[in-house]
Amino acid sequence: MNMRLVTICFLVFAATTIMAQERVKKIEFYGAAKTNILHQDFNVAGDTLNLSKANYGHSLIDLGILVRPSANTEISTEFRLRNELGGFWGGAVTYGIRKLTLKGVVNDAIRYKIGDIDLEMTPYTLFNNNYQDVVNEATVFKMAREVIDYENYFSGNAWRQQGIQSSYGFYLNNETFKSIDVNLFSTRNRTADPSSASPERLFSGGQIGLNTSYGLFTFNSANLFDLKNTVNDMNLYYNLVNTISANISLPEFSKFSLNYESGISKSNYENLIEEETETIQDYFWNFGLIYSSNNKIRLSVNCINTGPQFRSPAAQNIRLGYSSISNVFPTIGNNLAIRNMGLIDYLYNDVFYYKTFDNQLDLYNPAFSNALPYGLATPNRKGFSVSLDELAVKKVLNLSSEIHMMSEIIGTGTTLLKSFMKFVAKANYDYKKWSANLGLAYESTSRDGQVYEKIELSSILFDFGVDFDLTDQLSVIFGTKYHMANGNELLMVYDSYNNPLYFDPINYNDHKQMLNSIGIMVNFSELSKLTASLSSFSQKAEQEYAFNQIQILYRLNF
Amino acid sequence: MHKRVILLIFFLIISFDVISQNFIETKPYVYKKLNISGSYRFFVQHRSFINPYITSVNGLDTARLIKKSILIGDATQLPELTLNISANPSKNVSFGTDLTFWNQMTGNFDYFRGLNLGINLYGKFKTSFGNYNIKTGGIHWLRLSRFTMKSPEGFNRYTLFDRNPWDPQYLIFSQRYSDYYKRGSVQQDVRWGNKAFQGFAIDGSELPYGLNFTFLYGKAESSGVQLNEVDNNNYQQSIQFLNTQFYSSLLPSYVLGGRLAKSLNVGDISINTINGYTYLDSLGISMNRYEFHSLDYLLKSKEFTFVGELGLSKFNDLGYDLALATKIKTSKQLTILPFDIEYFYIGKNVYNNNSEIVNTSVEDSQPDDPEQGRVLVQTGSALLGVGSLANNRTGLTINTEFKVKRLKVSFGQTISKELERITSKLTYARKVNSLTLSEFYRWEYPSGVGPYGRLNKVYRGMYETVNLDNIKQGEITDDKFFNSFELQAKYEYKFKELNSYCFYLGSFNSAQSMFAPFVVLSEDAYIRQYVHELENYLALSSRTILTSYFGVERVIGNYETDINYNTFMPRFQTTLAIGLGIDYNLSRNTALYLRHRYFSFEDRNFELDNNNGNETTLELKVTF
Repeated sequence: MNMRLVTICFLVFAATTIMAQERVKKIEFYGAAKTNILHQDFNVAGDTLNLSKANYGHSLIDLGILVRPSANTEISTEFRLRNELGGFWGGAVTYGIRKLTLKGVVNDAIRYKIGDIDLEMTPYTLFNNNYQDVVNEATVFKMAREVIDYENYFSGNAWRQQGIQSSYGFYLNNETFKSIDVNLFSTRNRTADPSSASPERLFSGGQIGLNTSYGLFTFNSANLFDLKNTVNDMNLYYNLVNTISANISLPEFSKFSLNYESGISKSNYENLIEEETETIQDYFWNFGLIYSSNNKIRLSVNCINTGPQFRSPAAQNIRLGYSSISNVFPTIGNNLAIRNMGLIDYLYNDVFYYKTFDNQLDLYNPAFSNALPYGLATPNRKGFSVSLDELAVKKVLNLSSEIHMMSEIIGTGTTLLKSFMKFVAKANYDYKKWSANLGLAYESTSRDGQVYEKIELSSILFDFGVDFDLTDQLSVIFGTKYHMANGNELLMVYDSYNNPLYFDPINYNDHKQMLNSIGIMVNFSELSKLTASLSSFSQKAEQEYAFNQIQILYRLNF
Repeated sequence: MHKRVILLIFFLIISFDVISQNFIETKPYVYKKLNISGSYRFFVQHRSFINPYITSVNGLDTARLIKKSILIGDATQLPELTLNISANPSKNVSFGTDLTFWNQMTGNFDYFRGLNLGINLYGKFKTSFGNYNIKTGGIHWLRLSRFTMKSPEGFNRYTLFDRNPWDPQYLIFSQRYSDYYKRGSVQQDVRWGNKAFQGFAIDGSELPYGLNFTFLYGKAESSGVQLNEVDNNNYQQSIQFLNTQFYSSLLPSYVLGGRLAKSLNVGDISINTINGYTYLDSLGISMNRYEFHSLDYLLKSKEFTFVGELGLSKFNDLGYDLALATKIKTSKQLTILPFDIEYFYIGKNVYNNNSEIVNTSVEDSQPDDPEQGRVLVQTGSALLGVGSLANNRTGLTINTEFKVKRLKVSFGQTISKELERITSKLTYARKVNSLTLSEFYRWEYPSGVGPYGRLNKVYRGMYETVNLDNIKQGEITDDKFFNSFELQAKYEYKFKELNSYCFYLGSFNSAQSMFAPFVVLSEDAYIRQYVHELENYLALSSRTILTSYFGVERVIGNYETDINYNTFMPRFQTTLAIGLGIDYNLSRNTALYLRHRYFSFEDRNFELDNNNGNETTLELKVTF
């Protein structure tokens, strides 16, 4: 009898355990919905040929579906429905797929992902650099910024790519050498185009990390290359970046740690018609010392040297397509000149953001970033930086700051070198119903010499915001952005090998733009917020114009 | 060397513990409760003309509709499959949308995909100053007041033989007919009486002093934008996220409106406003700017109810004009029969296409294409049903009803007059076979069509334009007076112990140049329209209902209207409809509706305006 009872209990227990393991929901839903309504007034003195008002917007739902055929396999897809404001009765409706990813685990050890994957490595290998028109943005602008992030798949500093990724690791059973992590990926950067003889291009690489008792040592590799014979090849491109990075903490010096990354790049441009190969290679190093104390202060000093021929396409990039134009008031004046975009366009209108990278260094805007336009991996830079990553004052004030003192390694168009200084300061204040944030970025560029080679450029980007909570769910939010640029620069235009081809003289004659917004934010829940804001924007430059804007933005996540 | 490396790797793999991975490293926040409901509606129509309809005349050539056709799918763009998706991710937020699909079975397997009611987002929050509900996106179905934003509901006098795509299905199969008998209306969906709106709306309730409000900002049908055609294939690959991809222009047409209401012990009172900005040219210079501000009230006592609205309206440079509709309802205790008496005065410059008021007097230069903001309403000096409102008109409406055992009778009359002589055109809606006629034009809303170019299509209906010969020396010589009388009788009877229903609807209208207390039945009327419609719904079993319909309509014009120079006679139109059908309940929430109709139209004085034939429709509907 007892044996039977024990047997039954065992069977019930076993069955329950098996059922518990299998009790993974096979289909689950998640997603986001949004309504974005914009009403804009465009004011230009004497302009009678351009539309001066716009009223538009859309609603959309991204319905995410997670399908789990087994406990170790998951398919996720996001199905998009979008309806333009004013499109009644099924007009202006689009369907799309935003994401399709399969991921799983083989033998409970090797993870894999296929489809849409987010990839990030180091700032020198694979890195989606931050926005250049942001220092420490106000809440009223953050709401709009999150829309840009979401629509362009900007998640931290990762790039959304399409391909396959796999990762696995080993415990080494050793006190000094603890484990090895391996992360490999291969993605498709572009498809073959026979009409332009553009071959299939892949982006492959990975990381091998060694966890030790002293810290993490990682080998990083990023390779962008053309596949031969996918078209009638005329040119083939190959770029590799191999780096070693380390984060070292010594128990004897617990307040100090070291970080280090160095590596090489090699670019091959193979012309199959002329049977010529152009090879460009260079190196970089970045050595830093970090001091942190009592979790209240964290200070770091870095020395940086990035060679002029160092090429890392997945890291040397910018998010915003500065040369793009918006469909909202695209022209200005009675001569129908192309309107230069400003802060309000970058945040609210349909300017172009890069969703991937290519082998070409993108056009940058020296008025926003000239010291490190392509992030830390910007070629032809040497110098040092000091960063105060965090300083907490009485739990209500957080300060951070950084300064970069850089110069060119070789002259561009002259033997004289440009000097760069970039200073960033941020402050966040949070007390009872009030919170405020402040950010300032100042950059200066200078080069001595003759009149034709002399450069003096300075720019300021200022962010400020104040929030006041009326109730738990209702807040008044205010924000301002100010940008100023003054001086001149010779903007490098690169050839197909990313070497400076010529220099485009640019002058900023006290160029100023300012964006002010005030609004109300309703926090329906942690994941769902609505803002109704009034904004005014003015630009004083070669083209002077002003915007007034009403935006209603409701973002609902579920 | 290589062997060593391979051995080393092999050794590493087999001797070290493999790190067990957490499967979902960044698990999205998942929401499980997604509500999906909807309907499937297969609709097929077989139309066979005996004498085909003439679509147009070019000299001596007449273009006729094809004699036989099989039409799959509803002609009013209502889908085969509708999925309503909604969820309440938290107690304060919710969203809803719908997916629609249909296929006309053309053999190319191309399914049309769309949204019917758009994407709706909701949120609510409470404060010590009241509770607030926010709606964004759309289409939302909203109303403010009769003069500012609302669709007419009339007096619920209509026929049920023609099924609407949105008609619900009931657990008790015959409830559609019993509801109409008992409650005077069939359960309608959210659209009934409301106006379509996209944008942002907020409702505030439980405010101090018994106040509540509605504010809305966005696009109504009248401010629809011009849109480019959507290419779904390219869209998915390239410009997926551009804000402006579908706009051929960014014309800022929109409406701004609101309502502030105060609850009283005896009813409520509210002030309402709507302001419309509809741009007409690509530079945004020319626009229709209209505004309507009103006060409406509902005051109840035991014996009387006072309902009404008083407003001021302005259109572009025209001056402010007055609109008034005031109604008194009496109780049975006071007047034996309950009366509903309304006086209305709508000035000629009053304009608001979002309201119940039909625009007959203001030239608004709206485009003809409904996709470009065309408001699908009857225009010109319109013969309207009892209780309908039009601008440039004043009048009186009386309605009453009574019940004798199982017979319910209601009737009403509107007598009205145009305030100013603006147009020498009259319009009247075709009543019998109106849906059949409108389906001669599938997927389009043309105007000035038909053999004599005087038919115009509106949503699920047609109206006809009449030209009057009343201009002398450049002046319209006479006023226009309108009379409408409607009589409805509804009877419930038993057949095999099951309730069956018989309905009669009579509608009599006239337009003439002098005042008349009743519908003018003589040659004095420009146009006379008499309509009789009789329906019977016989429950053969709890799952089967035999439906039958007979309709006859006669429209007679006098010699001051269009004359056919072949016959030298004015209109003399006779429309006939004989219908028979079956409602059969296949299973719970699934039913088959078969309808056959013989339709005939004849204008004995306009020889080209003649057609007749048979139409059979089969509808299979599943709701879930």
